[in-house]
Amino acid sequence: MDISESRIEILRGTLDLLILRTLLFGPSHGHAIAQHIRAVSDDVLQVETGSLYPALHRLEQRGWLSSDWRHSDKGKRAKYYRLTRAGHRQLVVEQSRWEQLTEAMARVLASEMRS
Amino acid sequence: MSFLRRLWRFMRLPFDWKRRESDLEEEIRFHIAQETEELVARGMGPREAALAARRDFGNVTRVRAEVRDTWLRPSLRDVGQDVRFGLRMLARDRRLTVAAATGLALAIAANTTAFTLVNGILLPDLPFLEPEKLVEVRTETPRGQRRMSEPDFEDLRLTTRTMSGVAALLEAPVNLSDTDLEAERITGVYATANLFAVLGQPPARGRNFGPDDDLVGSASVAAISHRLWQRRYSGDPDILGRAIRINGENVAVLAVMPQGMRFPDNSDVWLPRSQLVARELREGRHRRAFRVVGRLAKGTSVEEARAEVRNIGDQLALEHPETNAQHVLSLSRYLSGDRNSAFLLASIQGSVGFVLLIACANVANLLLARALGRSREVAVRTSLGASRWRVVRQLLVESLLLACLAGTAGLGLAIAGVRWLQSMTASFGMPFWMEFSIDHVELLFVAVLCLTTTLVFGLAPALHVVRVDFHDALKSGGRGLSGGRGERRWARALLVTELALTLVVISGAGMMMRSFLTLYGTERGLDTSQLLTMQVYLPPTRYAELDARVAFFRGLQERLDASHEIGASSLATEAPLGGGSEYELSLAGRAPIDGEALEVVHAVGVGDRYFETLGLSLLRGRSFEEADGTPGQRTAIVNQRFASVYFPDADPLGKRLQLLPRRRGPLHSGEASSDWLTIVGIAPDVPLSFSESVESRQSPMVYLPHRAEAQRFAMLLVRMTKDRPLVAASVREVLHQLEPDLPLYNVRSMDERLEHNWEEYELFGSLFAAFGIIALVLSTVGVYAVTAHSVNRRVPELGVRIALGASPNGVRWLVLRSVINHLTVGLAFGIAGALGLGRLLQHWLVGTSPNDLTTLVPAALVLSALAIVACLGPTSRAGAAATLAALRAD
Repeated sequence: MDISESRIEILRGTLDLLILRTLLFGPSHGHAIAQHIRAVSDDVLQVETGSLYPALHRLEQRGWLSSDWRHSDKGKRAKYYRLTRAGHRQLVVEQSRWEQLTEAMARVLASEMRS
Repeated sequence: MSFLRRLWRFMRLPFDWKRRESDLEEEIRFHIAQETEELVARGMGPREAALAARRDFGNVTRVRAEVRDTWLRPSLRDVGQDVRFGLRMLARDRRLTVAAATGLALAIAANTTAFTLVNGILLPDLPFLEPEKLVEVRTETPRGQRRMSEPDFEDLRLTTRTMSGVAALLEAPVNLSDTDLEAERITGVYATANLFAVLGQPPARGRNFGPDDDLVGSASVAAISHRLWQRRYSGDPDILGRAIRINGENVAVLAVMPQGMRFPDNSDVWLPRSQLVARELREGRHRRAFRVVGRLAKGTSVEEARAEVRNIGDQLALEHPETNAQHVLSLSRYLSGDRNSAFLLASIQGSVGFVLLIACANVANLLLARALGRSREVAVRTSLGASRWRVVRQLLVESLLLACLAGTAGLGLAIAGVRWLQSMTASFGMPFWMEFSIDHVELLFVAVLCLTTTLVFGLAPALHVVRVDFHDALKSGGRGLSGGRGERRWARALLVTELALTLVVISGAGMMMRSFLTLYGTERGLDTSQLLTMQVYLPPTRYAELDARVAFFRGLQERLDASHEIGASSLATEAPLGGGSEYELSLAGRAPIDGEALEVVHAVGVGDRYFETLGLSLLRGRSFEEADGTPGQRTAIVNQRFASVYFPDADPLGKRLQLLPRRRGPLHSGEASSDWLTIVGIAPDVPLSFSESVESRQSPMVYLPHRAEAQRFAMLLVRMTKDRPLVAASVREVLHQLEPDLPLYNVRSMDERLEHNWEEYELFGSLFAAFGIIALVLSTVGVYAVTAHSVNRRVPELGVRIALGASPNGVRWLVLRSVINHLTVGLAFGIAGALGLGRLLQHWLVGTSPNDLTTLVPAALVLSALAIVACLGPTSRAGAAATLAALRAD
């Protein structure tokens, strides 16, 4: 099966949650974040760079991420993002909202199947 | 804190933009490099990998644009949200908004108007090259500030190294007459030839004065103002070289100055100093007649120049102790303003600043009250995740909106205020550099005011609200928060400040109005209606001798008396209430004791029909006659005050007196002054002048025959029996027949002449009064608001008191008492402030003093009465509301 066919376009608004969640493991640069999401989702979730970087900058603007320049493990200078305290709080808010949503979605879908 | 950090980041954005862009580039490059490496690791060729990585990244330009968008958008979006919400809140509390904005608008308008005045007078824009380099040098004498003498100036000019040029000038009105045009009198300036060079203002047409023009005997030339050129010579294109007659002499026009240039104040013609005929002004170091302006040399500071000028002055004092001992040369920036006006303007700006503070205190109190009412809302928003800073920002945005609203309205009012200022000052004959208009400086001022006021009145309530304990706010069940101790302290402090400042402003207004009324109501001692005054000036060339002057004035008076259009008329050296020359008095039979200072009296030279013209009849004795004032017939008339002071028990008629020129100050010596004069009449008292203190207005006066006193300046008084234009035309006609070159100038009714004595007081008094009224209204509103709020807050507590047996009146008293306490403290501070303000205004006070209780006490009473009235409503409600609360007792 061609991998690209099983990829799911990331829903609007969930990218923020994915980024915040990814950064929970520690500071990371944009490329690594995208890789991580792709890897952890077994290549199902494909993060478009065209939305990744605006999202990172937006989250930084809102004060949920902070950034600094460090040397990557291969010695190149890269911009590392890190969760701020507000980011941690936001992650909790977004994650619980997401859980509520999926739970509700699941319930609705299940009920349709029953009827 | 994150709000502040974000605000900071947003404000830094324009400066950070470059760095952010390059960071973004690097970030993207890194991403692509990383991707390439990964693809290579998976076995792709390096070139293919690079291409694939780039393709995979997508449209770099779009990513860049979108990222940039995120830098801008959230801040703007949040602010937009805040503004919309703020507008909604302001619209919801419409009454509060209108009250707060009106007060602020009035205060901002008053401040802007006052600032326009101060800016026009103290911070003028001189139309010269580098005006900040212009300085003025004066002589500080033990008796006050003086100008400089010509020899001192020449020494300064030779010695100075800190100034690249020094010019001396002397303003003198001159007669301007040309064959085909009516003679008129204009302001002229005699100056050293380098004046325009020092000012950095070359003529618009023609050539500048050259060094030759400084030599006595050089060709008679003049520079004229653009205004004179246009007005009198209809912009004659061949004006250069045209001969005009100045003081009866032909003078060639050398140059026309640029439009608007009328240095130093309202001049129309500039002449080289070498043409100054009044030689006496140029002789001797004690004749300090010249204004001296200089231009700082490149790279010299005012301080260096000041030090140098001081040294030169000290040197002069050593070399010429007889004239210069204890005289110091002082240097200041040109037009840095004299101290007295600076004090007055500072008091005006200060008190109007107080008015603004009062308005701010008011708005702060209103917002504080409302903010506490909103504590619950804030608490809910905070617990829903809004940061406290977000809440503070919201409140500040509301304050800013309010300030902008008030600022706009205030600007409109200020424009009206400045118009009023212009109309009030139109008759003042203001110098050319003094302009009252609203330009970019004033607009900037308004903007700064709005921002500052926002911070002043908005920050306190906002900060307070976020400090409130939200759990309490939520628990208190929606009744609104009762406000902690801190909040009450705030409100009280603001109220007390407000009351104190109001007292300062209204007592300032009171003192100025008192001075105005004193001047206005001065007993004039004569019927001033139908009295026309005008002036004649005889040029020094032909009228240097007393005989020539006497002959001229005799001819003039005869022709005037012969005319049927003109009523009774008389010449005089001064107008009534226009002052007089000072003399030292010595009385026959009373030899002055050695070393004792002689008493000073004022003398005025008057014509034979002077008292008849003024509508006065002598109390005793006779008027002057043809023979009076001629050798052998030296006579004088004294006023009643003189008679009662110097001859309390004797008949003054026939007694003799001697007037000696004062040995210091300007000498107005008439030839007769050292002769013995016989008193032939006693005149009723007419005040000497307006501007002196009340006591000196009833000073002893001596009238001398005009023909013995005839100077080149003369005042002509006419009691009009016909219409004024007809009378003025007839007098002009008579003068023209006698001497076509002479202009009749300053034709004014006596009442108009007197108005000059109080118009400044009228202007400044009205300003203070307007500020005082605004302050009173504002603080009345303030007292009302604070009391009403405090009553609302205390209803439960008062209810408990009633339940425990307090009477409704007792409860009312409780509320009233706290207002009275605040009032007392406020008045105490206010009185201290008012005394301070009085000190600043001291120079301007007439008929009152800074410590005058008759101004201070009524001011305090008015304020107290208004404050009490303002709190009566809320207080009486307190009783009823508390009773109800006691009954409901939740």
